[in-house]
Amino acid sequence: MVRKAAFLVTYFVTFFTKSLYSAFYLVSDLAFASLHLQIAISKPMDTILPVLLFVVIAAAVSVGLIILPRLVAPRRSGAVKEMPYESGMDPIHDTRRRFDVRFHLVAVTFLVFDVELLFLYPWAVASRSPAGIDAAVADGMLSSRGLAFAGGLIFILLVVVGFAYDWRKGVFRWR
Amino acid sequence: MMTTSLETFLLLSPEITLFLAALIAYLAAAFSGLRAGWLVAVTGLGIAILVSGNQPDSGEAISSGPITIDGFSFYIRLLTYTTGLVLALIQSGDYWKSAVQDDSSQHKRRGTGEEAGTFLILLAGLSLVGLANDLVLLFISLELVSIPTYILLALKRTDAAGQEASLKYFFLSLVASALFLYSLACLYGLGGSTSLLAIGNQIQSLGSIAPPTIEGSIVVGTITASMAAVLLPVMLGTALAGVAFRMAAVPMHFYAPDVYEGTSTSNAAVLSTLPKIAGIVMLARIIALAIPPLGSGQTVGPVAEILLLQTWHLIAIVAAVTMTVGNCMALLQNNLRRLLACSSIAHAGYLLVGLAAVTAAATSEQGPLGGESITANALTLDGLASTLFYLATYVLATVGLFGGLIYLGHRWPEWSTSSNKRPRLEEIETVDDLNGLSTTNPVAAFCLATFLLSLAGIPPLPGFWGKLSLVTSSLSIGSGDAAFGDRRAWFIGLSIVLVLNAAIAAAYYLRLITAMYFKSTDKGVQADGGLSSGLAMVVCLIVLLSISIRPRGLFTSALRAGNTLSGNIATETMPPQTTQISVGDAMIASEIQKGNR
Repeated sequence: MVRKAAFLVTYFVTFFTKSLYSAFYLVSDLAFASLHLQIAISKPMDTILPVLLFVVIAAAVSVGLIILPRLVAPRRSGAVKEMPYESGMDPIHDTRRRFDVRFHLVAVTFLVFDVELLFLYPWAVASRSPAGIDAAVADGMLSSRGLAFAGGLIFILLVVVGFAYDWRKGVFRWR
Repeated sequence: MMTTSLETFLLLSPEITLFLAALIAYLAAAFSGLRAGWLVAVTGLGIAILVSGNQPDSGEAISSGPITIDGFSFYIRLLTYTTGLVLALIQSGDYWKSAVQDDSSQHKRRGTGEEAGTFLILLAGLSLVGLANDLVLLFISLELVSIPTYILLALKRTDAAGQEASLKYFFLSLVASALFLYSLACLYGLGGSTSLLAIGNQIQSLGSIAPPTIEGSIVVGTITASMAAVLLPVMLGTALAGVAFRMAAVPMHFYAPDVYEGTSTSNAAVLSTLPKIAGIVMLARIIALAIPPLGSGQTVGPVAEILLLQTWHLIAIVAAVTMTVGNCMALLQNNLRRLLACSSIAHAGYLLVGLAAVTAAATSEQGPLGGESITANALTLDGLASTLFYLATYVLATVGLFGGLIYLGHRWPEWSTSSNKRPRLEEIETVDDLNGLSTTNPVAAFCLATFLLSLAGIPPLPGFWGKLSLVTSSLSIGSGDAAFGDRRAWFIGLSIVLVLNAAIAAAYYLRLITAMYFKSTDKGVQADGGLSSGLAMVVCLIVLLSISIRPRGLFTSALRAGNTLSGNIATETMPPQTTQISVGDAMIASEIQKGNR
């Protein structure tokens, strides 16, 4: 029961942190697209060219990756090869089959570090680049550099708390 | 002006207190096996209420970084914390007794530290929703409300019905969040900034002759009124969908009965109150974007005018349908939690009436919020204030009602997964389980009856004052040149629907009271759910009765909160950033601002 509770908490928290920033990307993408739409309407062709180029390249890559294997890849068929997951689980079985909760726990603890690194990269880069935290302080968005530093430290502290919780709840023991 | 500094964090000290308390609850549960998570929660909430200070006056707003503390956000903050305190008592209800009585570990419910910490984070998120003055913070804090809700749903009840409920809520909530996010993206596209102030300025001035340039916002290209005319209805629709899910209003209401029935009673208490507060705040913030500063002399641009028109039509229709659907569904229910879920849908409809009124009032010539000054006369409440007042009375009665139901239940829920021998006790599950409560437990019967009467809107109780102010605020909408017909007729119709629905609702509330007072039963109802939920029930009763004797205090508080929502923008847009206000207008505006302080 304790393990179950711990698993549920860690699973949900980390999973949703993940979905949170994919949501962020969605916002920024949509906002970016709408900004460029405005540019496109108000300005001549040259500003929208990168966007069009991006769309064309993205489409070309994805279509190319479908077509290329059909032309190049060797075709050897067999009973095992025909299965949806060649080396994974049996695709046809009872839907309520149990599988080990430890796989989930490993995935979840991986996410703790994953999320930490993802947020720490921009922080570290911004602290040294002239267009980063210094510019934000100069623009008056932040009152001091120390605040950004403290914010990063607090974030690390929170991740460490999550880590300590996991450790104490026995998530890292493979038993 | 928008600098994030140490002061920002000082202003957030109540929320930070809650987060620290949550960390303590988590870590103490993990390291020392502390099972008194709810004790930590109650203490943290007490400290948070103590450090949150006094309510600022109507015109006053402290902005720092992405947050704004004005009368509105303060009202939400205090409402959240007091509700949270009572809800913490209720949720700990089935815990204290077992902790005191038997020390053997099988009898203790596990995971109280996690539950308490998660609940504290939920409360902090909800209070941040009220404070948010920035799209990013608004969305983050909304997720901070949703994610702990999923965890609470999954933790508290682990049988098949509980899993179904938590998954259902989880997926629908994701859809609602995504839709609301889309509306935020539209707003960002329009405003070129994540600041609600800059977006509000942009929307209000669209179509006017001289668009203002706002410091700090990235205005790329020129946003034309025709582009806004495409983006704004999309924004409005998706935002309303997100709000409707949180409030359980009609297009997104269908999950409520299933989820409430499938989850534990204390979770149903959380679900029927806290997300509703969040929904009201979200909608109020979006409406406030299109309302020009109170007394600034600034007129609404054509785009904002159209947005307001569409908004109040949409909200009025949703409100009328929600009320009717919720009440009619509730008439057919026999399961208590399903019945209360339908009742909460109906109350979402009542709450929306006030928001429709405030939006419609803003489009008239007499100025935003009906142009009424703050008077001591309680009956001239404007729409937002009456919604906020009604919200407080609804939350109070609902929380008390659920507290009573948990108190009458027992601490071995039917879904307990322990293999131990369970005492054979009766759980309050259907309406018939309440039969004869007035003889078996007269105190609880009296409390429950009072809460039900308040929800039904019987005169001396706060629910009546709330409904009265909603009806008066919607009847005070004057006639105007609305694009879709006479505005006065719309709001008279809405008031009639509200009153008729109150009559329908009385039928099923009185059915419960009849069961408690006029039916007899041979089995006794066990009051084994824990003393603290009984305590929460009595506290709610005392507060409810004191409000019904003297509603003025809550009225004026709600009035101040309701008037600051646009007053907040007034104090913010006045300074030199907006160039189109002439000197004379600015002088008048600053005079009004001084008067407000």
